[in-house]
Amino acid sequence: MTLEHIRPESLHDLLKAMDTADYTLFAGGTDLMIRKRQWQGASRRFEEPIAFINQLKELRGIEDLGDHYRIGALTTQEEMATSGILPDYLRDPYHQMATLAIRNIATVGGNIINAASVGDSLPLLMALDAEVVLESLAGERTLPVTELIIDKYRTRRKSNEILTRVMIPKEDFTGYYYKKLGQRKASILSKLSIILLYRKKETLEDLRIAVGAVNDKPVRLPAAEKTLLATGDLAGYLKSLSEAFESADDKRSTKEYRETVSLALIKQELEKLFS
Amino acid sequence: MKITDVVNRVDTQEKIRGAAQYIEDIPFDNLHYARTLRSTLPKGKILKVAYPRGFPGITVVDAGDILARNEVSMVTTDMPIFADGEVNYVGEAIALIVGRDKDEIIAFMKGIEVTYDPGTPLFTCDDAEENLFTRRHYSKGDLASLEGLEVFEGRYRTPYQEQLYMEKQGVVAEVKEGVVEIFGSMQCPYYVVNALKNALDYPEEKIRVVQTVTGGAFGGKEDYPSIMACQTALAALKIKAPVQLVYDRREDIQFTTKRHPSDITIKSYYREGRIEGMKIDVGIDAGPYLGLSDVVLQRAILTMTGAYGVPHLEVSGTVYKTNNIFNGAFRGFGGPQSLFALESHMSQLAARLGVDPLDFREKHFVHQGELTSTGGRFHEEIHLEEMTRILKEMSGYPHLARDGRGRLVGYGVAVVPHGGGFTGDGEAEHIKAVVKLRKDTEQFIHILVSNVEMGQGALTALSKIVASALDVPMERIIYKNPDTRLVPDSGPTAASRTTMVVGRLLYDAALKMKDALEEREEVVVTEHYHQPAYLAWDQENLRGNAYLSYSWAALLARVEVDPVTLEVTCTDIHGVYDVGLPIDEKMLLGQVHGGVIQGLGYGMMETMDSKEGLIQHNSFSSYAVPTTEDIPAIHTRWLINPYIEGPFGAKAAGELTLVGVAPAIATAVADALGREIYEIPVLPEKLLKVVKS
Repeated sequence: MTLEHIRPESLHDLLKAMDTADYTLFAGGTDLMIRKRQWQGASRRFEEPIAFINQLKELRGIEDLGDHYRIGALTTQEEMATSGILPDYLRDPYHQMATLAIRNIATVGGNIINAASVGDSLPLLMALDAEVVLESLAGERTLPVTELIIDKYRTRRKSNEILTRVMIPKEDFTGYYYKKLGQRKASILSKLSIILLYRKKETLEDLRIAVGAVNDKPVRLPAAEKTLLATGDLAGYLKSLSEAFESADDKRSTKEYRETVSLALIKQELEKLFS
Repeated sequence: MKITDVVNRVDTQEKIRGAAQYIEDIPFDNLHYARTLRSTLPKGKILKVAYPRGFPGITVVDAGDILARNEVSMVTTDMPIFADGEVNYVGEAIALIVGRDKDEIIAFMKGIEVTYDPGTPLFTCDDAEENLFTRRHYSKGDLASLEGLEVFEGRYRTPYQEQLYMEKQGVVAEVKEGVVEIFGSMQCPYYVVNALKNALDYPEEKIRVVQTVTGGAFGGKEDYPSIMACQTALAALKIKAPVQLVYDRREDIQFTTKRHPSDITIKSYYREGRIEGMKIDVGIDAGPYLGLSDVVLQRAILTMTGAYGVPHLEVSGTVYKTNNIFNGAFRGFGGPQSLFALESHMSQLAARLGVDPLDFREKHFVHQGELTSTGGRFHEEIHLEEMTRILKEMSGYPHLARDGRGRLVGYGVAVVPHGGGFTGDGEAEHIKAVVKLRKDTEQFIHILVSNVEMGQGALTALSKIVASALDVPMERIIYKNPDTRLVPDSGPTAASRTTMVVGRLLYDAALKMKDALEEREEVVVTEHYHQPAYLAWDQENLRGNAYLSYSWAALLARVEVDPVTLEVTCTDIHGVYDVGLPIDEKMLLGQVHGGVIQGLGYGMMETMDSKEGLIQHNSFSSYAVPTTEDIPAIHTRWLINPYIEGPFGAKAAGELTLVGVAPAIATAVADALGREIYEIPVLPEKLLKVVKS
């Protein structure tokens, strides 16, 4: 069978093609090229049709639309990390992803749709209540990131849809805490990551917490956050979090370490906030 | 030129410019590619290998194609070139699948079905008779006389380590006019020659081995290229075309030799703050074939008392046979395992006795003229007290700051030897190095040795030695990658012997050539190795001078440990080195930096687990090695202590810089946490268990 790889010139052309056949979308390719690796010098294992999309300029760019940021799906991770528009709490996690060479080509949309359990943008976007726009020939729909992601490598995107942009509500957070732990200090996949965002003026007014790389899907507990904000019951929140964890031992770390250290770090930060 | 002149490495430009031709870059006419069909079982009988039909471009090369012996000769001959009827580890080569088109080879391999009768594999080091390869033992004094003294016993474990050379393993075999030619990335061209002689039953004239630019090796290309050379030689003979075998990175990580995991028990008998005796037991996991493992074990047990004089000793060691991956050479060669155990033990006992770890060590230091653990004599000057004094001065010891701005701060020390050259009388009895210097009619001087540049600086070091001995500019020295048709066997590029042993032979040859330097005709000088008369070795009983000479290092590591995440940051390594006289200070610094980084990875980061005999950490993303962000400030000093047998006084340097790093860091972490550590790497996951216990 000859493979019909395509490189459409416009989003519309892409959507038309996707309406007729299943394409694997190739944006930066930083995950796909590894997943399709083959003996060096042999053809990579692209056995299904590929649509190369990185040339679609309309899917690129960071805009401040007043009440939210609009991020094109093909915006690179490095563009996020070095954006003059975005606040630090958004740039910092992107800056700690992969390496500069990877960030220069890897995309915002790719990290979301890949839906790896170690995808470092996912806890951040979930904590920010970010939404994604999925487009097909039939139109577009909007889904919160937390609903889009089912679990490890699985999303609710349909095969004829493409994620075109991410909508991130603008919040006046007064501070944040981001911690990524890996087997070494840089250029490494996460064993766990924690994002904690808050608005604290006279009192603590808003608080978001998400934990990545522990479960198959990042853990965020909005109801428990609300209770914590209302009651200041740290132990209660940490207990809920602990009950939500379902980690496992793997090549990067252990269940015991991930869960113990996540809880300890969050407890430490919460104690500072509630003191 | 003079040996003290500052030079640039002769090989850096072409490597940095990308002009260097590695084996994968070199074109061959009608080149065929080979891929290895590997066992998927750790142990079993092969009942049937069914190959698909309809692939005219594909040739299978397997045990049926053996010409003389199905043996990879490397010290021992127990490893087959291709599995013949049985497999003994996951990844063992059953066949090479050879063709012109890589996609076709892959398609063919998808259709292969291997039927096994599974056996019962062994993954742990078990004392049952059939699981033992070799046992070694030596003693000193009378340990039994120490009955009743206080004792301290510790059991120490070290993991696999992967060499992770940048260039993967690779060779090309070609047959030209009846001569089998091997080109490839390797450390020991004559090991490959000897393996081919044995496998093919060819005379040496019909074998040619050429080392190509080698992108790192660290011991990983000491024994392994012999396996690939035997396999591809058989393939090239069968298809009558050149055959390239270059591994994928994952294949290389999973199926080539690693550093031996070890399990070491040390029991010290002490009185009034001094160790009077030690009972030591060393176990290493060889995998299914012995290969170099008994030699590794010997260095491990002969290194076990380190820099210390212990009057009464019982030291034993075992090489275990398992169905894990086959292990081999790696920078340090048994030393890193022993010295992690010993140096951890010394710091633990010092802490238990409430004394300073450096003072405690100093009490036990060996001195010139004293007997070694095997009853040889330390002939050279030993300056351990002076090195310790320098270490203290440069690090501000013992007034070390404990303020880590919220992080726990700890310090650890290690004072370690490394014996240069082959163990015992190996240089004289087995290697018998020969070197040649040739002055051509255009007045260029050619270094003819079989030692290779593999990133460590051999091209520059040996060229500098010859140029300095002759007092000519380095531009007049020509030293090319060895081709066994042109160079004599000066031995393997291993055991930190190249500068010290081969360099000395070249130095002697240069002095003999000096008077003939201005003659117009060609001049050739040949030098043979002779062991100094004051050294003697009894291999049977491991008695006498275990090494030609010792190099020394005194190290202090500073670490910071995050009290919540238990992440370790090594902030500083202070090191004082005695390598005799450094042939080149810049290159010595390079060795120090590389040794510290590789030792740091071994001590606190590099994790390699095996599950049912298969390495799990098989890629750059899971097998984490240090990056620049993890590298501490490295503070280096050296003590000039010329070695009478070395060229310009030089001793071994390459391995010394690695062997003490892991224990210095591990004991620093133990110091920061106020706990004892018995296992590397000191991962936060393991520290969590230590802290919770």
